[in-house]
Amino acid sequence: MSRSKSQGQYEVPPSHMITSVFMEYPMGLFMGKFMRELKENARLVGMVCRQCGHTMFPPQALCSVCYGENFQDPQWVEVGPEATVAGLMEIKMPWLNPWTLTLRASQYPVGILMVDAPGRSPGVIWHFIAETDVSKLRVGMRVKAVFKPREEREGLMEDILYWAPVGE
Amino acid sequence: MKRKVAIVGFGQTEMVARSPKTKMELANQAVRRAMDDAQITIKDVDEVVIADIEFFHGSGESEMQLADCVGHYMKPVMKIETGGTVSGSACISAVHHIAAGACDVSLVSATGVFPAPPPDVIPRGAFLQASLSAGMHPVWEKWCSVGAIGLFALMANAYVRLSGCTEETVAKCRAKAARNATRNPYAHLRGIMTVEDVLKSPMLMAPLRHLHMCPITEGSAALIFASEERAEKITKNPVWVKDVVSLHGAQYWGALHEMFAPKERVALPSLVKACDILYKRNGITNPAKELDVVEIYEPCTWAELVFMENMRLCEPNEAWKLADRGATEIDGELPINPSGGVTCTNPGMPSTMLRFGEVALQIRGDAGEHQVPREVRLGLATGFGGTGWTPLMLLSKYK
Amino acid sequence: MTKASIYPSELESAQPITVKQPALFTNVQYTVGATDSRFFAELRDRGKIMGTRCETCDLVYVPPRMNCKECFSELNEWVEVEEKGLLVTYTIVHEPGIRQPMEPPYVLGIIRLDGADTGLVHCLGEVDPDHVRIGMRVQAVLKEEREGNINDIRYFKPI
Repeated sequence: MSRSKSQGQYEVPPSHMITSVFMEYPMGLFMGKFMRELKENARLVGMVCRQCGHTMFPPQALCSVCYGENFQDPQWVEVGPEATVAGLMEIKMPWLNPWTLTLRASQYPVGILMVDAPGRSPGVIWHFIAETDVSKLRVGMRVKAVFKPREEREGLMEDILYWAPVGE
Repeated sequence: MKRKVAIVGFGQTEMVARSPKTKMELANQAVRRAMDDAQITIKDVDEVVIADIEFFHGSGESEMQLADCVGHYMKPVMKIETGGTVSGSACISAVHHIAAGACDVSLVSATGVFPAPPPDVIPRGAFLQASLSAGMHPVWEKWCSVGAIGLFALMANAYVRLSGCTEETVAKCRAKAARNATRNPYAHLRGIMTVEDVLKSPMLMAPLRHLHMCPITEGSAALIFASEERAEKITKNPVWVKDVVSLHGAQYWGALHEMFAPKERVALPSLVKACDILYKRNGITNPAKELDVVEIYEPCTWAELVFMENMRLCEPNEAWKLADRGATEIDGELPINPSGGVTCTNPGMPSTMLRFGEVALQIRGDAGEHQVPREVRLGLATGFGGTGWTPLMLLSKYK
Repeated sequence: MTKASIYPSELESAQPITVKQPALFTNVQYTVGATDSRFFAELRDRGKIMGTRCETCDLVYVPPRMNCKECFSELNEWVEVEEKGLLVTYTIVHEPGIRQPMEPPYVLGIIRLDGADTGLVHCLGEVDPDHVRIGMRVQAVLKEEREGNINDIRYFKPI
């Protein structure tokens, strides 16, 4: 077709758009409490559904399991600071830090951690495990959260530096 | 469904890594090919359904830019956005519209192009993984997420732990996909791949290797659906949509415990339940025997094995044994992904539609070199997306 | 009388926690496509404004399109249109914003060039915004050094 022949003849540079746009938005009432506790008190808080006992971590007003409403009198609970490793992924490639859009890498593997919680289910969190040698890690081992000092905490997950293996 | 619906046309573009064409040009090409396949013109099309993931091509509301290219000027249009499964959801919407009597002929268009910043600003791979992570929770998941790769590394780890699946089997399965893709003129990765090639490919996140993972492809596809009456006038070979199911998974990826931190078997719950519903509604008791071809949306080779089990095509933790003895080859007892699947061609938005379209080709006997060598009466196609979203389409040669 | 809130008061009265995230698609490079490429290449190399013509509907599209919106024919016929035409409509932009072609206040208009059946969006220059009228005849003012994008036309001036 004539169009593809003319492609070379009519070349123009690609369109390049640069717009520096930031989004700034509230995390909500319930997530907000979680972040405040993390930042100010180095505590992990979740909620236990008053209807079915499921642990909601992160906390949310509507239960994911029974859809029960927990607006009025939420049952806040402290979870952790220990957890059981339920899955592992060893990151061998860099990825983008969503807060700065710069590349970041980590020597630590990411684990799926079942955080100790008083409800009838654990809370689940994905976070770094402080052990660069993956062969030393196994599903079922216990880890404990290690927090950054107060002045470095912002209310984000990075306030926890990593989870360190606990005893044997 | 109130009225019967059939697929009457399917079009796709040659799938490549970086297309010199724009989204608009690719969409136009696929739409014209689908209409040629159906031997109809735009006048015969009552409505257009556009499937797209917002912003991936650099701007939103693509239905505006696509208007003239998919022919929806002054026609009813629906725009569907459901993340990775988007073309599956769009096809199901079109089926619903026709079944409900809202229209008789519906054209569904899906196109994937992935522009990125200049490579010295942000490398393309990391940027695209971040785009996939865009739907993740800002505080909970995005900060340590590497998009799809991390999720499937977790799933693969769990599968190895529970089933004893070997690396060699996964490599064999990947080599099968490559072999099938070489017979598919539209597929993206069409080179022969040996088991050694797969075993030697770089490790992304153990045990997920580079070649296990689907590529980034650019391309477009279009499907045309019609009501029973119109379908039989349009074509001698309508492919009947026996059933559609769509189920969403979970609020957070982390909540899919059965997939990432299972105790007995690795399972995508929405796929398990969707298949249960589909099989029950259609009287299918032995899917491995009753289905003549299956096109599974497998974002990585490991997922092909896990999803086979979730679809009850074999017992839990047994899929790798089936693959190992060649049962899923194009001439095997249960051909899976004769097109090469998503691991060979992944244009994102159209990927689910390609599964539906490829089953349709198999039923029509039009798949050319990658046609399964048996009579294909019943085929099942699946889709996949965040968060564990599963659309299914059951297609049949007979009404 | 205000209705009681369903949310606990200690949560509602707490300082809201916000997160700030850069949007992802803020620096994107993408191909212009065959149709627009030819338009911009002709503008850059020959200083000409081109459109595509639909034989069936006898319509000339500027900016050029690859399909006719009325009959869906593929448009392969390229025609040159005049550098001057009619100001079909306009507005005066006062509000400052991002990625603006000129400093506000500036005139943004739709111009139907002689020979075209559709309008081209662009700015007006060398004119007092108060003196702009619908129906004015305007002419493209091209840059001396052109790159192959819409800014190769600096603005349209009244004639």
